[in-house]
Amino acid sequence: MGGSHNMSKTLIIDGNRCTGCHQCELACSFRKLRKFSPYDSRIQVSSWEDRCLSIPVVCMQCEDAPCARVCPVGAIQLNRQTGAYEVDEDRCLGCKMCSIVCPFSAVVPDRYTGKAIKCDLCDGDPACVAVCAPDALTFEEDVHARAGQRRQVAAQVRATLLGEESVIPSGLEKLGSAE
Amino acid sequence: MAAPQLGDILFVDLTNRKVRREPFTKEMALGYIGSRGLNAKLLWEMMEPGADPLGPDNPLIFGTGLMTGTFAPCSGRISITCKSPSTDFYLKTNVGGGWGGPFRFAGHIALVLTGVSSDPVYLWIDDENVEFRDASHLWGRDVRTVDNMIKSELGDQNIRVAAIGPGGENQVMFASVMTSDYNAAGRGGAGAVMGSKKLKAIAVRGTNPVEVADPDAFEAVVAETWKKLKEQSGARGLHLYGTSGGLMAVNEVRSLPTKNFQGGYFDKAYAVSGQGLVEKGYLKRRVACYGCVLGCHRYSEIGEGKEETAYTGGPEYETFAALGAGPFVADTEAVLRANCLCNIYGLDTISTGSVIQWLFECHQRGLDFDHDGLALDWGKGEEVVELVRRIAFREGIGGLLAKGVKRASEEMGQDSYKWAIQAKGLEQSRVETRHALSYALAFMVNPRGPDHLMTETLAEFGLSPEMRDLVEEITGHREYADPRITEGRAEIVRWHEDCYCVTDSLGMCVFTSTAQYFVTPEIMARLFSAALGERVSEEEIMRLGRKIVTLEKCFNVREGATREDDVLPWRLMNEESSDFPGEGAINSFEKMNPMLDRYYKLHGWDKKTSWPKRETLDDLDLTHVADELSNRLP
Repeated sequence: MGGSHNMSKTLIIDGNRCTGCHQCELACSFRKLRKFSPYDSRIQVSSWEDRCLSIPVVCMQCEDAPCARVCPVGAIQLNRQTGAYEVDEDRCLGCKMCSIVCPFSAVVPDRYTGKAIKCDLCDGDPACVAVCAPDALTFEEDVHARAGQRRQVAAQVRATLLGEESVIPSGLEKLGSAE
Repeated sequence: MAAPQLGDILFVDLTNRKVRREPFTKEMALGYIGSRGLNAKLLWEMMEPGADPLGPDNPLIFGTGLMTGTFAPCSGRISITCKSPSTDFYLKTNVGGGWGGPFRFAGHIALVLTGVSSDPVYLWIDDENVEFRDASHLWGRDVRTVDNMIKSELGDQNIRVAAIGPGGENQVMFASVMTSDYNAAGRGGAGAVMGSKKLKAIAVRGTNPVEVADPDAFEAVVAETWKKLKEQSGARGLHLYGTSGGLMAVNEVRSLPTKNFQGGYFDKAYAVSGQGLVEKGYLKRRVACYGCVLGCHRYSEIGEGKEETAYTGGPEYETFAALGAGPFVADTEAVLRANCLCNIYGLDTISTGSVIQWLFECHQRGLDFDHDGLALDWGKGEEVVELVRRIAFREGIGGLLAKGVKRASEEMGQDSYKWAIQAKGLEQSRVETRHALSYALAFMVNPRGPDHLMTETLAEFGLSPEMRDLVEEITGHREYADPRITEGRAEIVRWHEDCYCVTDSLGMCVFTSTAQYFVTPEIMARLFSAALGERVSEEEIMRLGRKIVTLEKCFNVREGATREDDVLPWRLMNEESSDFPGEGAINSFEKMNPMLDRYYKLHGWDKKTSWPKRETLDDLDLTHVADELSNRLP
């Protein structure tokens, strides 16, 4: 399946921009269930309220996805059009192996059916991205174009490793990029 | 179309530790919308007139709305309602944060707390289960610590907690209920009421879905609001710089209240502005309430943010104005620390700043009193921080200030009432009403006292084409979009009262409808209709807003209010601002009375007493209220 992902868009999370509004969870559950149910959302926001810090966690659509590899009946398959690994509900046994191996805990058993549920990128039009006002979630053509963000992350890692002051100026430099 | 389950009203008797439930019905929604409206109905029915606000007979009501838990824009606000210990009148205080959504996902719409617990207690609402839990180990602790301790002991970081700090426990008259360690239901002392009940916190977890009757219609209306939101440049500014992003503009037009409303200009305003917060690197994150698409809240840190007072949410415009520009403090870090202490001790920043400024002015004017070892001069940031602490724990002079500025000035005497910036017993928010007459009128008639949080009339400034359009629509005159003229003010106030009340009652944020104006009454009517499965017109939902506003007024009438209570602070009615002198720049009776007359007439209230007339109440389906009032009134 090499090269197949180059054709599809990627869901990108920028934790610096997340405001913790949980609109993504509401929109995800509404798209799937026509009800508002964060508990059933395929994207989940973790918050540290005393630091006003929130980070959404969702399926990364791994290139060599452990969930798909471990599935004994091949129920998780890559959709080459969208780049999403999708669950075939008819084939899924509900064995939960995929939940166990997923490093992001992004595939879980549905509480109503017991079958695996995960982000399927809404057939290429993710509901969560559409309602993310601060653009913490974006759906992008070319991940390789994000060199600036990659360097910021690398600089943070560097600072941590060297025990230095962060080389990224806090405040305007980072947050001003919201423009 | 079948109406979905709207949720239960939970009645919790703290004295007897009993829980009772009643379904919130479609009929109740059609009568009172929800949240603020439902709370008003419940308080009217449940509280005996004359009840002690800090006694067992004052119900404390938390209400969410039908938008709460949906993706309607900015729909995570809750209303908290009770009789205010500051004013002995009606109190609705509204707050965001993350508590409202989970409460509704737990299957509830409102929580009514009555009685008094014998020992410190906290409630654990886990979906349909309600548990009373010992809070003796939490009593005395600050809000941030309590929030973390409760999440740890219940073993889930997704739990949301509404709590009081030492301020509420010690019944500081302006103690807030905090729905996180930075979201405050601050005004009017709901935290003191919660403290009087020995209720430390309400923890909630909800795992059920919230449904709307017509998902397709609901989705379509929300999509329309998104389109309108993206056309609003103001919304972007609110996200980037917060409410304090407007502070320097207010300062430029000499309307930023300084030195306790003596002046209107602070030459170091940048140090306490939203722009300063960003550019000096204190701002670390932009934060939203549950379901909010604006994200106007802030999170700031001092240095590495390690010490207890070096990190918290905010500050807002009101906080920077009350604890910074007001006392003439240009030390940004002192203001951040004062804000942090207000948050974690659970104190309203507006009233806290107001009582401190009053005390500074007592010193300025050479009054004879014990300074408690502090230098009470304008500009003393460290003293402001220390006074916040003494207020929360009622230590030394903090004990006097904790009573609120009305009672404190009565004790101080020596003419200090003249600079006690309060009416009805509530400290005025940092709005220069001498320069904005709709605001002045709205503050006078506000049932909870002078602030912008029962009605806000921003459109009168005519800052945008939308605002000028709206003023024209309301008054028939485009040129009335001018805050200095007296014509049309009553009409502008009344429209905004209705609109603001509908927004609150749906559980939405008023920034959507009376600050950014991208959510109109027509949109709110369609959202409500789609959620409920019953067609409710724009006119009908605005009439419900009027009905609720009128019921809130009737609560005050039943408590003895007359026209004489509809006033502004003495200074604003009698003295001009030193930075904005000139003819007529005061809110005198002479100037305000014709507007008040017009306002009462528009409402169908008696001009002499301000009491709603029977036919007015009959028209609003409040005949039962008229019956009760006519039994009590002369």
